[in-house]
Amino acid sequence: MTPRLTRWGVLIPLLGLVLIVLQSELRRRSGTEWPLKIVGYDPRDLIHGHYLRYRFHFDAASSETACLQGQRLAAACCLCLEPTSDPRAPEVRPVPCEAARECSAWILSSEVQPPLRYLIPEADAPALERALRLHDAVLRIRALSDGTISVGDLELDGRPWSEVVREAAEPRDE
Amino acid sequence: MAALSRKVDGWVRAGLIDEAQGARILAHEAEVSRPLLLYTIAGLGSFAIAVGLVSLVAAQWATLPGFIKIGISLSWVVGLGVGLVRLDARGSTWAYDVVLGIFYGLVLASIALVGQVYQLGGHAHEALWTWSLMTAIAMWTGRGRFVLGLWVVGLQASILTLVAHKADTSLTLSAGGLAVFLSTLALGNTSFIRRLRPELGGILRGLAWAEIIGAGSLATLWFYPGGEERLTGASTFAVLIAAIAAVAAVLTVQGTGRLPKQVLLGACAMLVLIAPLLAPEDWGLLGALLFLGVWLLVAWAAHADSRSSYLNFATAILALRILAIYLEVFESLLSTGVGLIGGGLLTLGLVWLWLRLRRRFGAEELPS
Repeated sequence: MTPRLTRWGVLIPLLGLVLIVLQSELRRRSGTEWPLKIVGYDPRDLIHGHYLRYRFHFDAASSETACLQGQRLAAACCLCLEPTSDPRAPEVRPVPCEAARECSAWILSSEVQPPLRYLIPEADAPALERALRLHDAVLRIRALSDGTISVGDLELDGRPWSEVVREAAEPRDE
Repeated sequence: MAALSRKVDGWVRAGLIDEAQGARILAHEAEVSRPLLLYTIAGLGSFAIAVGLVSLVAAQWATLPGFIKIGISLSWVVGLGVGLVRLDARGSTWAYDVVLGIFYGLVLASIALVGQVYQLGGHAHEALWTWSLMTAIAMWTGRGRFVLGLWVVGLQASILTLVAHKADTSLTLSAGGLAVFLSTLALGNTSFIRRLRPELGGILRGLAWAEIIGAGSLATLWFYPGGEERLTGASTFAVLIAAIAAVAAVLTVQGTGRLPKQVLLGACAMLVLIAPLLAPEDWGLLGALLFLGVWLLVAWAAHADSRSSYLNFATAILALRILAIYLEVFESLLSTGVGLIGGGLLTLGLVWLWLRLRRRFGAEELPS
């Protein structure tokens, strides 16, 4: 093997990793941030190992029936995001993707199809599972101009989930 | 080397070679042979470290901010990379392979870490493909069989997870898997690989044979209750691809014992592709007999290729399966004296048959 080949062999993974990090960081800083309410698929099995299985909650009543396939969003439809008077609860409505371009922000169907997973430290899984039953869960996402999203922090009643879990674990004074 | 030394001593005593020739043979072998045990232990060590790094990331250190975790991970990649370049310049072989094995695992762990920190989601095959593509050149520079084998397994895992992701039925998955194994065999048989990296060619062929025989053996389970399969568009496509790959693999089989190898390949491919659709699911005995058929073909191919260790392995598997058939068929009799006597006689008969076959094979192996 030539030394040049070894150098390329080392350099390519390193550059590749740096590129993935830069791209992810760029996506995290682009687009507009939206707090989206999430719910589990199966309330008895919210957390699986080291990840939370979730889906985005959307207003099924106001959505077009053609856009809904049970709890799933049809492939030709997108999620339309509009701000409301409550900054923590935007309107999330499934609409055909052509109509979604008129919305303040929109998300492609492929971005919200299961399995959606939010990775968590495995040691915190039981505590987080308990906390999810007591608090409203919101995922801060960034909606990018191409309809894709960058997933940010998980919040429980408006606070970071780790803070809520840590607080619940602390012994209380009698 | 100890075994070779005993053999050379035997040849000298038998007057086949003189002492000087024996010494030259031993000196030559000492020069060209590689310390297999050292390679294996070092390879296993590096593999354990690589798996450990992946596990460490999977457990996720919650206490550190994301950018610090990524920074540490990248600095390890840089450190190991510099080490690889230096070891390469020094001409090191086993140390190079150990560091390369850890580097390979660390790149996967780093991809997983970035995925965790940025909650990238996605599917396993996407991460595995990124890993396989990024590390392809580095792994090509591997020296020993263990690291090259690790790479081949990683590549196959990347392809198989993609097949599993796309598969809509078990038949699609098994046909897709078979196509991957047959392609691995075909790649190992190409003159390009044989000429450029003979060790890699050997690994590709050995691994593919083991996988194809394993797949053929597992396919006999379709004759037991519980399996139900239907032909879909995706599975038809997968079966067609696998059938074409099987024909190509049968036609390109090389070396001694070509016919039994071709028959074995064809039989395994037929079982994997046809059994899910046609096997009546309560014909367990037929499934068991087909399993025996596969391993008889393995024994035949091993015999034709003068591979006594493979022949021994195949006869051991045959004996075990025959015992299992006995247990399946006469399960109710086992509590009685008749069942126990029958089982004992069968076991002794199998041992006798095995010894006879080994003796006969040993006699055929002796130089005429």
